[in-house]
Amino acid sequence: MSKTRKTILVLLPFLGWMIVVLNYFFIPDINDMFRKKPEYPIAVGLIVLFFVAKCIYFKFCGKGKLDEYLSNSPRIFVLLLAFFVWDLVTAKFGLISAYFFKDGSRIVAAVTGNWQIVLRHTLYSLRLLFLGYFCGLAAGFLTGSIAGWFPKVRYWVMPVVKKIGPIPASIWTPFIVVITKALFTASVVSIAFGVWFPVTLMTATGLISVPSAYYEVARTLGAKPRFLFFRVALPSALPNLFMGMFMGMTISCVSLIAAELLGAEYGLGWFINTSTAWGEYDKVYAGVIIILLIFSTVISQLFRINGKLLKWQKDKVQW
Amino acid sequence: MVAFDAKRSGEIAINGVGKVFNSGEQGEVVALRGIDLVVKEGELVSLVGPSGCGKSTLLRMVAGLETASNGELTLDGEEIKGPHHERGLVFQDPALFPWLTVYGNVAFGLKARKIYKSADNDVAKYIELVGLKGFEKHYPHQLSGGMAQRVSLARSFVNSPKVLLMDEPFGALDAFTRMQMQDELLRIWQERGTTILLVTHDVDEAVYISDKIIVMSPRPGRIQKIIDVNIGRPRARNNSYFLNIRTDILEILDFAKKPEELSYYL
Ligand SMILES: Nc1ncnc2c1ncn2[C@@H]1O[C@H](COP(=O)(O)OP(=O)(O)OP(=O)(O)O)[C@@H](O)[C@H]1O
Ligand SMILES: [Mg+2]
Repeated sequence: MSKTRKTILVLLPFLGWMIVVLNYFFIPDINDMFRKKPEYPIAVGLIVLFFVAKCIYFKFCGKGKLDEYLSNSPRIFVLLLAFFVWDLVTAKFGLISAYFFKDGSRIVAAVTGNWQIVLRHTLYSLRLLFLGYFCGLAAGFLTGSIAGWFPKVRYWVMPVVKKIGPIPASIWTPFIVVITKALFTASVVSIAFGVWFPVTLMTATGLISVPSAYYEVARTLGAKPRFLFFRVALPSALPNLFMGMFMGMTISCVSLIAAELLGAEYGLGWFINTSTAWGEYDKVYAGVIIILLIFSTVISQLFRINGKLLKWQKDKVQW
Repeated sequence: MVAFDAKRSGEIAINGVGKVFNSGEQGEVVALRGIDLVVKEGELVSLVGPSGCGKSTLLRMVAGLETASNGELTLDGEEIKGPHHERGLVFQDPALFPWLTVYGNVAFGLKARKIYKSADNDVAKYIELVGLKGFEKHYPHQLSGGMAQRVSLARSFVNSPKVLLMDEPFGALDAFTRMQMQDELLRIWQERGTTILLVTHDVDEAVYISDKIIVMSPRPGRIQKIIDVNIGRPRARNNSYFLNIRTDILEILDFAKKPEELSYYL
């Protein structure tokens, strides 16, 4: 990549940020009651800052990954342009209903103005999400491994898994609430249940489809069943396992919101729901964006681990 | 590093062994019938024969991956009941573990047997021996077919088995590397007194390395003839005696009469 091209790519997000900020400060709002504060430029600036930090990281310890990362620059630029257009459509020209649609600065203000409350709901959601996800993961991994490894268990377990798995976890919540008696436990269980199914299915499928040649080679080299399971079957099934983990994460996102609507008094799902009821749409957007950020972070971390552990794969699936 | 006692046994006895596959639609396939064969300890025996005559099947039975439909197989008088690291098998298709590096693949046997020591082991030695020094950290998908085949050789050597079963181990190699590997194999064999049973499509290879050549015929697979190769070692590859044996084998395999098939097997 030529130096000029690189420079342009590095500067592009700054340009986007300038457009958003200039628009925010210098084009008058159609309804100019909202006091201009630096929170919005700072919040948008954080995106650019994040980008720059990653560029610096890749430049000095990324082994030539900088060019690859820089290819994201136009995307960030377009994202910032989208903010700009959104602000124009909402605050500046009032082309769509100001009651339902809030410009960027109002969404940011909804967070900064109530940050303790928002933080609290976020932490509650995170706790629920991780507890549910990891319980489901552990349970799914266990059942999947047993069903994948022992044909006799598989014969009895798999049909049950296949029948009850695809049913949305929320259907079970009334029963789960009755059984667990505690709302929080019920929420955790219902998320875990949703994660359990794809993880079980993918783990079992992965283990079943290990090429028998691997077992044969390993056995002639002296491997015993335990070694075969942990050092042959599991590594070979790892791509499937990751697939299950991704599917589980998507499902847990859905069930998280569903679980929080059960009647809890905390969590982003509840926050969004309540804000909708009160007509505070700026908070609704804020809640949605926070959920989005949480999930994109979690998923990208999953991908990172996935890439690290599966670097031996020849044709790794590109997402 | 590994001590070998000179009296290391490893005698394979195959008595009246037959193998019938039950393959659904095609019904029963008689892959082998009435195989009687003794491979004495420290002997190097080759199996040649047309494709589908049951060479791999026989090897897999000795390895313990396949059970005989009738007859019995023994190693040093003990019945072969399943796979064991004493009977190493080099597969026709290398089947390396794709999630392990070259080093990891070669070290696999030691780790499986829980005798792997990170400091003092033969892994590097065998990687060098098959000419892959510098490729330790490569993954199988980064290797050529011949390189993968050599890794699978090193993977079996490192366990130093009593009996080494090899299914076309040099099939994927170029002529020069093949000769090199044949000489390495002979060296290891002489050094250790390993019993080797080797399948090959290359008659010259069989004549060059073996004490005995078993010529098999297909459908059902039977032993057609056992040829003793009484040429002293080290052998010269252009020995005139070679040609005689070679012609013998080809005649037995009926190739003299069907020249159009020649190209396939040679
Ligand atoms: N698992 C199996 N199920 C059914 N039939 C089989 C099976 N394995 C081998 N056979 C049959 O047994 C016969 C011998 O097969 P084998 O693989 O031992 O031949 P081969 O001599 O090694 O051939 P090649 O030289 O092509 O490798 C073939 O007819 C094959 O179709
Ligand atoms: Mg074969």
